[in-house]
Amino acid sequence: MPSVKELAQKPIPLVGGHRACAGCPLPIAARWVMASSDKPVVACVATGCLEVTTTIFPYTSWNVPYIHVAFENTAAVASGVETALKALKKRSRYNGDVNVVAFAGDGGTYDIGLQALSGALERGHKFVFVCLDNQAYMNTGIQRSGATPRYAHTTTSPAGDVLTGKPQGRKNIMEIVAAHGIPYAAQASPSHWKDFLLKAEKAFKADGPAFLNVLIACNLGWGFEPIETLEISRLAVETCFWPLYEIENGVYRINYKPRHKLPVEEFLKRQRRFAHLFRPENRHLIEAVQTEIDAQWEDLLRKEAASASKASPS
Amino acid sequence: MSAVAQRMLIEIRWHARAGQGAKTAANILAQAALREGKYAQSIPEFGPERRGAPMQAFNRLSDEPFYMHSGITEPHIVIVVDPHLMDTIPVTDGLKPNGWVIINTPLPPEEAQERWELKPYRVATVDASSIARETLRQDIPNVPLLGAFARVTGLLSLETLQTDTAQRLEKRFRDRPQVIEANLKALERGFNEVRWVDAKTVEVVTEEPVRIPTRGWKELVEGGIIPEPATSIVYRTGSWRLERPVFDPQKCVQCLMCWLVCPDSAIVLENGKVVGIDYDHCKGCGLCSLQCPPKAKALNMVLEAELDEK
Ligand SMILES: Cc1ncc(C[n+]2csc(CCOP(=O)(O)OP(=O)(O)O)c2C)c(N)n1
Ligand code: SF4
Ligand code: SF4
Ligand code: SF4
Ligand SMILES: [Mg+2]
Repeated sequence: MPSVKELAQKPIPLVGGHRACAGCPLPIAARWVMASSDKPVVACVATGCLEVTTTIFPYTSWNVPYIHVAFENTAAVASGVETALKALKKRSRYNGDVNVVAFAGDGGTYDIGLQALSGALERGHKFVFVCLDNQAYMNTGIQRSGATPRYAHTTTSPAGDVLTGKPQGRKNIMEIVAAHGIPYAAQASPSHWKDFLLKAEKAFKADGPAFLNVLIACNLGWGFEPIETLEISRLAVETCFWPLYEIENGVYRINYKPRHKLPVEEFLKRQRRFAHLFRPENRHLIEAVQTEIDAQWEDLLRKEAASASKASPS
Repeated sequence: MSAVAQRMLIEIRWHARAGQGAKTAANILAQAALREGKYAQSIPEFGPERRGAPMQAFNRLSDEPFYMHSGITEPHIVIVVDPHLMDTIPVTDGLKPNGWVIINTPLPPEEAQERWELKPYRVATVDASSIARETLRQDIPNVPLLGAFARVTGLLSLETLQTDTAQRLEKRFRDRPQVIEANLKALERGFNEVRWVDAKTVEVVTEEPVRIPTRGWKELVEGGIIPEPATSIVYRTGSWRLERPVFDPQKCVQCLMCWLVCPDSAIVLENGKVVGIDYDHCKGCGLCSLQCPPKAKALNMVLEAELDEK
């Protein structure tokens, strides 16, 4: 992994003047991913907060070749770019060496972009797909998605007299993606930069499709102050709400095990989207969340233990 | 109070930050005008900008029907919800000579006129934030500003605004009449506490405001292609900032953590070393200051308002 000093020597892939909310980790994540590539990158970006705030026509914040794609087909376009470059090489019309990276929101990954993603993973294109998971359709005004956690308030799962936020839990996108048998899938958070940069580097080096699921703590949609962004991301990891782990050729590895797993309440209580859970009549729901998080964490530990035998000693 | 001439189309522009309620205020204003038998319009300017970004909202009022639906570039009246915008946004851009600038600030109007070079305009000031905090227990300056607007322009009566506000809040706060009372009080105090001065000169300041260059469709490349990279830097997101990180080079240990986390690429490096902050783009999120090692503490957040005072 290149050191931060080395990264600072590279041209910056995404410049200022973009209109993401103050403190939004989207540009941080995009920069870190691209900076981890050993080759020049081509970025394919789905409609969503990152795209809308960085490419206000006729201006752009991107300092790399960039293509804006529709909400539903990021992985299809990235496949096309990768294949086109290969075809050009075959005909000796191009002899560069680049990495293709796709960025999409959780809506553009878990939901509407899922079939394009599945197709691209199955075909085995060599590219890195980055899901910027802010757990709702933020660009269009905080609607619930397949990534929205249980009991989170969104504008389409409002907490009120009838609902206590979203009734359903999150899709397990990591398992869905891993089921395609791709060489590398990992979950990262901007609060843990070393782990993040290592994973991005591994993803680019993978021999085939790679997937990164990145936690994007959205101050607007989750309801907290911009300055708290990285702290809240850290709490997501320390409570095991967002475990840092990777699945490399079928082998599970948990990259960070909190020494003292914090109660999930510590994460929930900092965000207005969960404020209704702290009313006396809803306190039991916090316990339900804790039970769910514990079960998921145990499951992950089991998978790690079970696949340890598969891991080749390296 | 001398009214702006009645039989014409009056154009009003609000300047605020996204999230400060200018859209709602423009709505109330239009509703109240309708109630008084006028023709009225209220248009928020929705951009891709996010929370904290400067935004505008527009009103048109007239005694006769009108058919314009565009944004307003030559207003008769400008209302500034957030006084910090006075230093970063050309709020008087296109304002008619002798037009009104109504500002939420504790400064007396004479001082405001002097400080922000508003001599060609009539200037009204009201400490709307303090009134709002005292009556509504929240910094929602738009309510007292509406009262001030009614008083200085004479375009609406205080009673209509109050009736309208009461009706709007009735359903939501049926069981909390004190909230409605507080809003009516805020309107009234804005009406009573606003102070104003006349224009001092009629010549218009001609200094060109800093503006993002725009291109006509003939100059654009076909197919929505943007041929140059990294051009968004012409847009200065520094105007979003309420707090700024202040860098102390003596204390800096050059760990580069601030540079690594800055979402706006606003930490300036020279030869791989941090040398300062790009205030044209820093949005003041504070992430860099939290990332700076506690032993170094080379980045400290300071309120822009405090810097103004110095
Ligand atoms: C086919 C289609 N449906 C709806 C939209 C409107 N739309 C644009 S962005 C967006 C939400 C994006 O959510 P997500 O992918 O989670 O990204 P975020 O904005 O949260 O980063 C929607 C619904 C669209 N552009 N295309
Ligand atoms: S809405 Fe959320 S994800 Fe979108 S720019 Fe703002 S903070 Fe970032
Ligand atoms: S406060 Fe710091 S991290 Fe935030 S935009 Fe400004 S320089 Fe960057
Ligand atoms: S984080 Fe603090 S000590 Fe480290 S480079 Fe930035 S200003 Fe210097
Ligand atoms: Mg999203």
